[in-house]
Amino acid sequence: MSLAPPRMAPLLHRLAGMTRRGAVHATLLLVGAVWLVPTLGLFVTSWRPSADVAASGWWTALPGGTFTAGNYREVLTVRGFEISLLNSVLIALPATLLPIVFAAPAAYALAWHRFRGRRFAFLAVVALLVVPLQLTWVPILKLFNLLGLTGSFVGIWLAHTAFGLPFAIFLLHDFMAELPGAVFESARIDGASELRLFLTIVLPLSTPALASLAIFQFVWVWNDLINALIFLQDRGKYPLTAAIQGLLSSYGSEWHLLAAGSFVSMSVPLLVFVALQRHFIRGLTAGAVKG
Amino acid sequence: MTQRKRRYSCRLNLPLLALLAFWGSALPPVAAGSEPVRIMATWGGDEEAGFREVLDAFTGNTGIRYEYDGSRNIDILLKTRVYGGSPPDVAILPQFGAIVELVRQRAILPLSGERPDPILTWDELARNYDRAFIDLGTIDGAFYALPVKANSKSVCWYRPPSFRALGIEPPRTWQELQAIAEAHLRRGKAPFAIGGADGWPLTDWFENIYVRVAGPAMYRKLFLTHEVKWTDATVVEAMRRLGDVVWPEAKLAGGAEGTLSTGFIDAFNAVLRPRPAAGIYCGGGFMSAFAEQNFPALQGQQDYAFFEFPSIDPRWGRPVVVGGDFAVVFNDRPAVRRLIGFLAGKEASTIWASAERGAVVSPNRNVPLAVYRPFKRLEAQQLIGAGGLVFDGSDLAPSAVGRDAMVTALQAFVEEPERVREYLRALEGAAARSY
Amino acid sequence: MFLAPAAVLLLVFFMHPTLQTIWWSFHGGIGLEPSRFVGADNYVRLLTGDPLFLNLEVWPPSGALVNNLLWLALFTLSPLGLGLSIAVLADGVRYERTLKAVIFLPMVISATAASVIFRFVYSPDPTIGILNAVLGALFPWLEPVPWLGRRSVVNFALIGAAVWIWTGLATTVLSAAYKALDREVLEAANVDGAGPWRTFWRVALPMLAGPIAFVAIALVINGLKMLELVLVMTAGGPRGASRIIGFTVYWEMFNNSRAGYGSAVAVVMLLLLVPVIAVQLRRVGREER
Repeated sequence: MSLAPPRMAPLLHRLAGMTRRGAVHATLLLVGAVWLVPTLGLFVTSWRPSADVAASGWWTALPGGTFTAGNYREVLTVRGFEISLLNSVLIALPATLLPIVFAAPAAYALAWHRFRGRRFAFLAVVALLVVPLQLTWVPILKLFNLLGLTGSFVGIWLAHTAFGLPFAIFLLHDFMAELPGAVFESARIDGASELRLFLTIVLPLSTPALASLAIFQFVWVWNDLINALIFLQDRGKYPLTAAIQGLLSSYGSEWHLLAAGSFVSMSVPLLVFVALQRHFIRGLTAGAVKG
Repeated sequence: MTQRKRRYSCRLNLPLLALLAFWGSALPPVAAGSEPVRIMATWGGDEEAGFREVLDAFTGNTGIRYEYDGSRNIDILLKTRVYGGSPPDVAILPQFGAIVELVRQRAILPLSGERPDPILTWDELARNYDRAFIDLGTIDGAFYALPVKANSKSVCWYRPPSFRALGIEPPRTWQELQAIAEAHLRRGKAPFAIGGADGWPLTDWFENIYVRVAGPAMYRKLFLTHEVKWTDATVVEAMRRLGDVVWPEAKLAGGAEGTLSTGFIDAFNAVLRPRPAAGIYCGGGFMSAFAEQNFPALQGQQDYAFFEFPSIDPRWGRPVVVGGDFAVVFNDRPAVRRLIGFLAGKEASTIWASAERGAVVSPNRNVPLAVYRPFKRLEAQQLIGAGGLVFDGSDLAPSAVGRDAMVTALQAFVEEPERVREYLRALEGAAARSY
Repeated sequence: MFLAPAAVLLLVFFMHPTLQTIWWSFHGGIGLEPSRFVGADNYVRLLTGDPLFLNLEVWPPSGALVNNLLWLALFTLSPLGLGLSIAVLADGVRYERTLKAVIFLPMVISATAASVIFRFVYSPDPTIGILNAVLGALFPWLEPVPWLGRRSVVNFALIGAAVWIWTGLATTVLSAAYKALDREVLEAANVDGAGPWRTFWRVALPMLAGPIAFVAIALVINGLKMLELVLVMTAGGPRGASRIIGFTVYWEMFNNSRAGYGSAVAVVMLLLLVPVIAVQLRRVGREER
């Protein structure tokens, strides 16, 4: 890693030098352990037979309990698993990209263009963040029925895009407002058009923010169940979350399957996070060097 | 990263998006030709497998395709879709209060009644169902809600070996139940486990007691029509009896607060597991499925069994509180009519009752008892032989009462029984603005 | 031109529902679309006649509104504090990435799964609830605590689960921001003999004000909208003690079929956002000077 040696935090090292370095490590490891325990519980549960899950705590299984791959087998062979996985990808990719495509120029304009009502527009966006989605379902479903979008991927893309937009604009605005304005000015003086400026300077500089946004939006869309059920209304188009829910009885009591299903489902966003984490740290260093 | 590369990737995205958009819109919503019947219900897993056996038989008989959409979130989904203007053809709902609401909104169609071409005739209904089911499904003179599945809520699960160890027998009366509770307490054991974190185990307890204290007519007036107020003397009396169960809190596994943080399955497991935390779990014939799944080593009847909820007032005996699922119809099409006709008949009910996975107790009285598995057969016998059937009161009432105010009042009662009149006043207030 | 596409989408998807909600909050009746105009009745009942929303007759006051204030305080400050500490303390340590991935992990778990995990964590029965099992092993004289069944504890338990989920956001954002800080300024402060604590409080923290405000606002908004966790773990119970505003909006609309009343709760929720907007206003204002 190129960033490690020169960027060793002076703060930590001074602090650690003064107090006990071990205490810091112990604290960090403890926090890590506490954070890991619930997930570990879910993971162990996902490998246990349902009878054991009902009878004893998951930690009792760690030394010499019975484990089974049966839960995963059941999840992976659920009716329509492959289709729903494909659907999840088909829903999540555009529903992650579109809000960014819509939000980035808007956030840039709100942060750097001087126009009347700019403040009001931005505050309206912040206010929209808190509108409960439940309130929008019926009006939007009516609209979709009118336009024939109910049951189409386009409809669910639009819905996710709109629902994700306030947060996307908010996040990108915050980041873009901190960008060095002098760079924009010099580009303008060089005769760059606004579009060119946006595409060649603003977007590349915003990579870390775009990457974080992509993670959040992707996770949100990937885990969504209720919007898909409301706007798609068609089992053939439902995402993975719906297929996994289909394993559960009306009492929702099959915790061993829920646990296995969660791990199958979360593996994808986890990979995305790991992939993008690398990416946006690099983006940040590039920014820092320039700044 | 260089600027050129970045720009390139930006441009690449646009055609990709356009392609995806085209693909998304090009997929037709449903294949043209014979339109399938769209059915919504709450079932998944094994329950769904059982229902699909029925639906597959329907398709086999008629060639009509179906689309089944099962979700535990049916409350939200159905309401949203009804108001949004795209309901399914048929929905199967467990909550009768929601059905009454749909009738009031004119969202669902009568299956029978004053219309020239009923989907089901009164004769057909009378041939297949107990009077109680037909009366229940009849709202303002027309029949709307076809019962397709029933379960008894008047059973109490216990372990015969544990009872033998205590020298006790399953109770038939309230006094005997009290004696059993005392026998547990003397040995330092909690007699009852109640999953009070889920509201309905508490409402089931109350309903069983209330119908035994006040009788079926008052029961109907309290829950369905709200002609009886929650502050009525009969309600107070029923709460006093419920106090026999939850007070002192040593009678409850985990105590009062433990009860309020325990879900129904954990409560049930606490009775059946190797070192039981309680002796009795009341409510839900369907719990046999959980016993089979969670305790495969135990033998039904031998290691665990149920007794009927004991009687309180000999006048009313032991009526059965029934939970059920009802089919309602949103669109009148020939295919939908045939499906409803099929579901109402003996063939579909028998297939469902004898399904490999997810077998149900059928409300259809022509289903031969022989097709059931042991516990289901006992449950079905109880439903047929009952002195009277009443329906789960918390499902009859609007959910603002049955799933909200009533649950809050009962949870409060478990924790602080002495302030019962205060809770009942609040409950009555909620009921007054919900019917 | 830059704004238009986003503006159109936001108008189409949010304008109508938002205005409709405000209009509906003055209506009553049963169903998802209220029918009767009732004036300010919903608001009057909400603030004076609904002890599960606001009860000032007991001490301390209770109800969804009060619970939500508790949520806003703890659910905002805890992830911020934790995230900031981890961002600073873990900066540069060998297992930093792994640690941050572990902290972030809960954010990719669906809310339903997280709720189920924590129902197990908090179970009052020490044979299945790990928290009570651990406490019982450490302090054998302690009775198992019914975390979700005791009214004085349930909100803290729920907030704990939410903090577990959302600290990942705070850590990720603040760690990235911390790494982007101008090292020379920090070094200079150190050279001036400011000491690590002073450097952190006087120099680093002010430089992180922007990201901290961002995370705080994101948390406030999620604290206001919080629904699924409460719905799955306690359904607002016991005795309505864990209701919060986001839950109440949903519950009144979809369980109780009182869309007008639920809309009034949603409007109260919007009003609670006013302080956030004020903060945001100051931030935007500062940028312009």
